[in-house]
Amino acid sequence: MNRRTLLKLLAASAASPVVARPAWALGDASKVDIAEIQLPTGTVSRPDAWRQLLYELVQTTSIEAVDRVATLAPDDVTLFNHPFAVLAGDDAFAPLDDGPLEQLSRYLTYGGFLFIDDATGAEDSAFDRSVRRLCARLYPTRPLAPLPADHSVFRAFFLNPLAVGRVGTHAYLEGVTDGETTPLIYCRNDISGALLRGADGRYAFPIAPGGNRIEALKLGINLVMYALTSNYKKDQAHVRQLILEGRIE
Amino acid sequence: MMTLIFGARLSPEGELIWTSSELAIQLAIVAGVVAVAVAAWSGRRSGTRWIELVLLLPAVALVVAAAAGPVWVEESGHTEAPRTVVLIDDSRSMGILEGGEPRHSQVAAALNAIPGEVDVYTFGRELTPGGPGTFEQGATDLAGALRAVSDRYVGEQLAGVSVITDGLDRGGLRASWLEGTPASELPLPELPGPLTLYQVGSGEAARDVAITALETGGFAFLRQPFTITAQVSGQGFAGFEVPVTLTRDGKVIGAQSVTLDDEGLGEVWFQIKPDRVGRFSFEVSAPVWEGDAVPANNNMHVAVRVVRDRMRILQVCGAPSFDQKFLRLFLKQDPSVDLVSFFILRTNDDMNSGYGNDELSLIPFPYERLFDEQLWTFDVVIFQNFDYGPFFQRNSDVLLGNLAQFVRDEGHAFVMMGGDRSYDLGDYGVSPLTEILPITLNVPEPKVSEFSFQPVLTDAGRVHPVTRLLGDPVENRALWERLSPLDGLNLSGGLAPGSASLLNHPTELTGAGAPMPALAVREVGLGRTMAIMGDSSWRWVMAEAASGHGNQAYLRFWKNALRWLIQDPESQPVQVEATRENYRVGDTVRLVVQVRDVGFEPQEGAAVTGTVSGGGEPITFEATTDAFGEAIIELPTGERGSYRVRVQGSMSGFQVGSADTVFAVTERDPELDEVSADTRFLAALAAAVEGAHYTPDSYERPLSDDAAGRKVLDRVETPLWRAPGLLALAGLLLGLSWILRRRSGYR
Repeated sequence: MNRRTLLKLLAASAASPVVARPAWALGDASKVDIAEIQLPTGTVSRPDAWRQLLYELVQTTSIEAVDRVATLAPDDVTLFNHPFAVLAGDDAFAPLDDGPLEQLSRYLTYGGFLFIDDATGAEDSAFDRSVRRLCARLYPTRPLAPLPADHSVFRAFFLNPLAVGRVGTHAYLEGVTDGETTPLIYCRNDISGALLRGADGRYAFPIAPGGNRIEALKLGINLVMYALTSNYKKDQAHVRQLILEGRIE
Repeated sequence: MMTLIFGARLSPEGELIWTSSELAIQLAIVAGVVAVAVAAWSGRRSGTRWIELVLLLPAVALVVAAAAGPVWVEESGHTEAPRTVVLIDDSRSMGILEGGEPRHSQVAAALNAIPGEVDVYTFGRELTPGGPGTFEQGATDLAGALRAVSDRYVGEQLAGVSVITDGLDRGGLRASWLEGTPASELPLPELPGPLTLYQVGSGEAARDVAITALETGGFAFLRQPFTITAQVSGQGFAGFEVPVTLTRDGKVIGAQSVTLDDEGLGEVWFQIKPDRVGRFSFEVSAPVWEGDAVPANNNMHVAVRVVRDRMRILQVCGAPSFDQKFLRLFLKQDPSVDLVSFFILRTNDDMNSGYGNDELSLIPFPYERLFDEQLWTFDVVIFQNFDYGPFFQRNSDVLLGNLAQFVRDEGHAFVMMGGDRSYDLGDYGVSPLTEILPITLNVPEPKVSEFSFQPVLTDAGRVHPVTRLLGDPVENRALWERLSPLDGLNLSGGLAPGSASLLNHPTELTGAGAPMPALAVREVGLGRTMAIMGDSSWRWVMAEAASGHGNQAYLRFWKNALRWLIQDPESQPVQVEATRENYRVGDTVRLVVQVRDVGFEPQEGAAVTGTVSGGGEPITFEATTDAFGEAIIELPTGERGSYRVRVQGSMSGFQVGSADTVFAVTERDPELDEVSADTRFLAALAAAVEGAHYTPDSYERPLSDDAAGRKVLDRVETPLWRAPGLLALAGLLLGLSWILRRRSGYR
């Protein structure tokens, strides 16, 4: 894909909502959407960035997504209506009370997925410290650790996208793995910042050296695809075929 | 005169014994002395007094002597003619055919060669009086039989001991001899007479084909090949090619030929890929050849238990979704499931996004391989919002026809889940799947309902194992009423024949005015199918989790569904199992019958009736289940062969269900391992004890010990206390004494 093609696609996407399925679909309630968790402090709300991701999902993959981003608090019980959730922030946030923490833990235990995005893109940030504190409370016995290069999130749809966003400060993803799945993935390169557009349709933030908007988009699509299919790409049939074709080793 | 006095003739070699007790004798003496003293103390001085005493004294003496119980004992004896004992081998090897006749038909000729009165016994494992026996015993213990004769006739010298046998001793005697122990050193008892061995069976190599052993490993995994190895022996058939067939339930499922080696031995293998779970009985058999000595050993039965290693499920999904996510999570976490997933991640509509294939981690969808050669390896196929049209372009009828056959003819299972690519929206109304789906298609627009609804548990759903999430019916119904509403519904024309709706839409009706199914099941041919008419069952996880109830309802629903779909024997309300697959002749078969209700609760007091068929007349039995819902039935095994057990369970007069199983009685018969009479062994044995050995064409009179015989003792006892002459004498003397006393004026 060249730059011109990308610009055409993005321009088109800015002008149109997520393409609706034909009238005989079963309705939008069960279609893929995103819940954006907001805390009193430290988090940022970027629903348009997530809408852009949902649009790209529909355009690029077979996933049926709906143009819906629910912004809600961690203790909002409707969180369970949205199995894919994001938490983006740029500053420290206060530790969650026990109630919201317990609900968030339950949400992740029973199949919810949480993507955390550090919007600062900085080497070191107060948001990052708050995130690590949150993860330690959510998973006292499981570490937040860098994901290996052969993790399914890097094969969920696009093959080996770079783990970058608006910046490329940290060229890896971190996550908490529970058994064969990783219900929480953390990126420190401001993915949402790379996707966010302003009201004029232009991108809200320039890409910093090391960042890559296309790779950020690919990674975002992979994150949603991974949240839905988990370790599907580790199934033997896929691994064999990809090795056979020389696309992975 | 002696007879007149003593009542019998007495011999001077006799002996007098006193039979009364000492006390009685002493009392009699005292009484006699007192009587004489009283008579003498009368104060008379007349001459008759002494005469009276002279008469009284011997009379009293006779009475006292009689009271002491004198008996005259005479002992004498005589010698009777010696007896001959005949032992007849009663084992099954005596039934081996020679020239078309059983070997035991020669027993009569052997008996005719033995003159005079004989004591006849049969022997196998034990010695039994009488003859000629049934020739059905499973053992031949020659040494044991001879020991029993020796014990029975201890102290008596017999004219002879004759044994009629083929010499195929299984009690150890022959084995020792074959291992090199000289016949003279064999552990034989001291015999009470000379031994004569009448051999039945020619001793020439008999011709016999036999299946001597089957190896199966005991159990097998579903759809995993396993091997039945059969050992074939063909005495007299070295170098022959022997055809061997394998049958299951009377149906031939394999045939092999084996060329026997120089020793007449061979081995054949049958590879079987079981397609159902349960117990199955196999029979390996070889044809009966002309002159075959033992037709009964030309076949052998064995039962094999087929278990499911893991349930193999193919999940095909038209687009990743929340519903697909939660189903895959459940299936991947279940260790009993071997899941193969194929998700369509990109369709033709997505090809304009500008990304090249090299950038994607996608692989071709191997639909032809999956729905042709690989299809039969799965237990369950799930179509989750999958439309076949874009993929099965060339041969959709064939591939979907395979799927219909996979269910209907092969006993597998199929699930279709709803969505905008399913049912009529996926054009399945014109596909072969209409033959197996639980609902009918080709409904007019609108083909979906987009509105959220609360499914209603139907009457069938209340008792069906798929929707029985809780054992208590009231709690189960309350749970279904509590579960999250579903987001939308694929509409259908209603139930297909033989189907049942477990959940209905609360208000939607079919074109015929019936409630619109939301969850339907069907038993079609040998297999089962299920239709979930929506794509939001994932809410049964998340909504329950949101309210703190966890995901148990969703897990139970799918666990129930899968067990029902694959017809897991353990999901049946009535189950029967033999505690072993294979028994030996003489074992006790132990059958365990379990009766449960639809909620899998044990049913106490359920009536169980059953039959065991397979050999001879069927055996029927009745039992009642205990508090654990179990009834245990014990039955003796019949003869070798396969047996099928069928049971029915009923509660309060209503049938709960039925079940069946098989077992085999497979004991190899050692009596038929060797078939030729052993001339050499019998000759060596006879020589070792200086006996005689006769082959069938040379039967003669048995050896006889002329000096043998039996002394019989006679003992004659003559009671003298009641000897008539002595009693008369005592009476006469007493009478004269009394008369004399009266004449003297005394009383």
